[in-house]
Amino acid sequence: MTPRNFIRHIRHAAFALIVWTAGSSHAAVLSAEASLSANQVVTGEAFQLVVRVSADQKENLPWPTVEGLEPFSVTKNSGTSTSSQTTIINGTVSRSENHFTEFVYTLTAREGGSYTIGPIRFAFKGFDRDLGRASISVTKTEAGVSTRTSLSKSKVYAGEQVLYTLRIIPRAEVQSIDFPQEMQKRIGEKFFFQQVDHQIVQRPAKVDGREFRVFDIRIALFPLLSGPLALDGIPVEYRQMRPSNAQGQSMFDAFFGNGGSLITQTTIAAPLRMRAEPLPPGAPDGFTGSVGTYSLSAALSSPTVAAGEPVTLTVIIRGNGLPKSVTKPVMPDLAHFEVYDPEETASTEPIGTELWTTRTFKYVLIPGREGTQILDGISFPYFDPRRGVYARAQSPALTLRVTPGKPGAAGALLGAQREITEVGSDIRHIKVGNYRLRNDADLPTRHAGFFLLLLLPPLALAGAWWLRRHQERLRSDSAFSRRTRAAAELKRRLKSARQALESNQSRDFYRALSEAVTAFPSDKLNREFRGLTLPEAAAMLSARGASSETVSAYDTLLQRCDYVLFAGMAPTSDEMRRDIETAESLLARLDKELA
Amino acid sequence: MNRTNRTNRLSRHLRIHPRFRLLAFLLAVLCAAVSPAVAAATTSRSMGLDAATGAFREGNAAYERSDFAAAEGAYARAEAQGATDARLYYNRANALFRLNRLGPAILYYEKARKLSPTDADILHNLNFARARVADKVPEPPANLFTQALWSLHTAYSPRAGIWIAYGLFAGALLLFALGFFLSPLGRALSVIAAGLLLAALLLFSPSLLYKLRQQNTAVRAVVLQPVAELYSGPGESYELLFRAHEGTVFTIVSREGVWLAVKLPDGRGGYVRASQTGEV
Repeated sequence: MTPRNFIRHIRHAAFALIVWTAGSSHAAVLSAEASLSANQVVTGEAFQLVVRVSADQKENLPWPTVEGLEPFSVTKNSGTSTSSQTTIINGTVSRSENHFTEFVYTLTAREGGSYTIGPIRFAFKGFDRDLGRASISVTKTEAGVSTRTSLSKSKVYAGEQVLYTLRIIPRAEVQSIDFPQEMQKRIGEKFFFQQVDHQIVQRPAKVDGREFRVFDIRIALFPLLSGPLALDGIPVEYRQMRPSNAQGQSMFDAFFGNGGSLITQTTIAAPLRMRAEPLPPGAPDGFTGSVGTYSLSAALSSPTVAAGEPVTLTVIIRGNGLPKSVTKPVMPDLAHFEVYDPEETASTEPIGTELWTTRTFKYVLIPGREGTQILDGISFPYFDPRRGVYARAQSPALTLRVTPGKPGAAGALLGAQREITEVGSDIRHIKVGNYRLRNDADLPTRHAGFFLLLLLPPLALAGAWWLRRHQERLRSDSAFSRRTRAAAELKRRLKSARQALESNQSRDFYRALSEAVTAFPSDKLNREFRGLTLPEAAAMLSARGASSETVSAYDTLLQRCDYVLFAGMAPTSDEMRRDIETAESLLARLDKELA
Repeated sequence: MNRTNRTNRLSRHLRIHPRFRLLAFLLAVLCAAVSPAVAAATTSRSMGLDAATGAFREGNAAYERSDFAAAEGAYARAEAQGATDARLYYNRANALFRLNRLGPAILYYEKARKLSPTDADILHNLNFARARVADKVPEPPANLFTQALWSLHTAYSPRAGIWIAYGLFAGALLLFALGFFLSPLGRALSVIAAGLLLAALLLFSPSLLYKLRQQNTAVRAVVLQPVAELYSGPGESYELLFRAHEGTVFTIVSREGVWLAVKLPDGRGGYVRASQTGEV
């Protein structure tokens, strides 16, 4: 940003008139303010009055009431925006949203003088505020640009091309001109249009007997509707230097340059009227709305081709009607050809004062039958506005000599690429097969087995729950854990004793047997029997419910174990066999009695 | 003492827990009581289906010879043996169609569709036969949501629906059970998955229940005679409202003696003699 621009921004900000700001006084609208972008302008210079309304909810707000706009040309537009803020206070998060609506009045003064804009008032639901007034001083200047508009015809057919010329005659002070940007908005609903010249150059011309350097903007118009049509005035925006004012010059202006600044002005080209006649009835088949002068040419890439080999048919349609109305030509019957969708190219170019469209279609044809084929009747229907009748652009007949093709060439597949034509219809055949019939209507719910099956998932769930609980108890309750594992431990020890018996190792046998007989009640009762004397062990078993016979057998068996282990007694294998059976019987009784 | 005795003695250490003995006993008794009855019923059904399959194959052979009357007779015998197979109904409908008995043909196509709603052959032939019906009844337009729901509802047979529901139920409970043995994260995931399956079951159940209700009760009636007359009440003394032609399908609203209160898809309705229709 240059110092000068900076100063200008500061000055505009100073000019901005903040008239009124209301605090939060209503649930929907929070505040409203109005501002003016300048307070000194020249005639034709655009400036803006902006009314900005803030609301806590998204609302479809009405326009403000602004008085005193009669001396100005006014263009209005509005826009909305949203801002949100998140606040964290003492860990509490709150979020607020503001919705801003800006009502923008772009004003252009037609005459010089001092004007007051206002009162400006905004009212919505319970919110009603006077936003004040603003003063604007307008200095009269001569327009920097004048315009002339003309049409090549004032009466045409709908769809027929007509030339619209906008001549812009600038004065010396004009720095730059923006060529019309809003054509689509202004005339797009009624006309299709396209600029004839790609570049617009300034050239000398005589206007009202005087020499000027002018810009001519030439636009080809195609009326889309019929009836009387109005071409609205098209705005032309330009920039020129503001006349210098030595008294108003600031120190910075004086330092950085002259006092003139660039201002943007707009002039509206004169509106025009024309009439579009509707097309008469009786449009031929294939007519797509082309109005103008058209020609059609067609050519084959080769006059001779083998059956099954491709040949390119190029069709070129050229005319000065609506560019989009040129579509595929009407083709003759090509039953003996395989025809692919054409490749299309299009271009428009100005010739004289008119815009001409050329559209090229390239068809790939594959002849399927040898012989001479005549391609006749490639045409394009259009409406000729000069004669006021429908016409047809047509190419001369084309002759293609098709020689015999190679066996298996693409032409042989012609039939495969055509849609199958149904010549009849019938019901589908019965279902045959070597399968066995079943009762489809016999639902599983009619069988007891299904309900047993239905029980499985709940049982599985219950089982899983029990197993989990059991595992937890094994982990946390050592007595329960020992008691639960007692049987498995006993089984393991007896197995060890039996292995010693099989190998006739008496000491190992009785050691294992003694271990089994001592450990089992220890596991069952969660009390250690190993350190107890025989009378103590017998007393404990009796106290836990073991019968006197069982206690006596227990005592006898352990004594036999001790004799072998510590007194050197040598038992026979039969005695060992009897002892293990006695042990098994004894432990079974203990298991029952200690439960 | 032999090895068997030792085994018996040891097995006492591994015996069924007393708490489960009663349950095991009851299960054993139940199995013993039910098994012969189930076996007898299964055998009886199996023999009937064997005979039905034989008749069905005879019907197919007759149809292939273009002897449609014999084919229809054989299919009827197969049905009398108790077979309720969608393929049997479909083939019988084809035979009836070939015999120019449009009403009964549509009736059997409808029966086949009820058991096998996604079979393309059944749907094709049913539509083909419907196109021959003299009365064209416009279907009321349905919105996309309704169409989507209806498509889902008609995409499975009642039998398949029961197994789908069972799968969702069993899957949900097994996932819950699996959760007992998983880490906290795994348990949470299994509970979520099980919850989703239960939610799916909850959403699926209304459709299945409606389908089972349709399975167990006749909900549609097909006109079997060249013309059926519909009255404003259950009797010929009432006002004659309109005549429906062979093959027209009604929705059954209620029954009053030998009369059916029916309605067409376009909302028109009346009372028709039950004997003039076949029920699906």
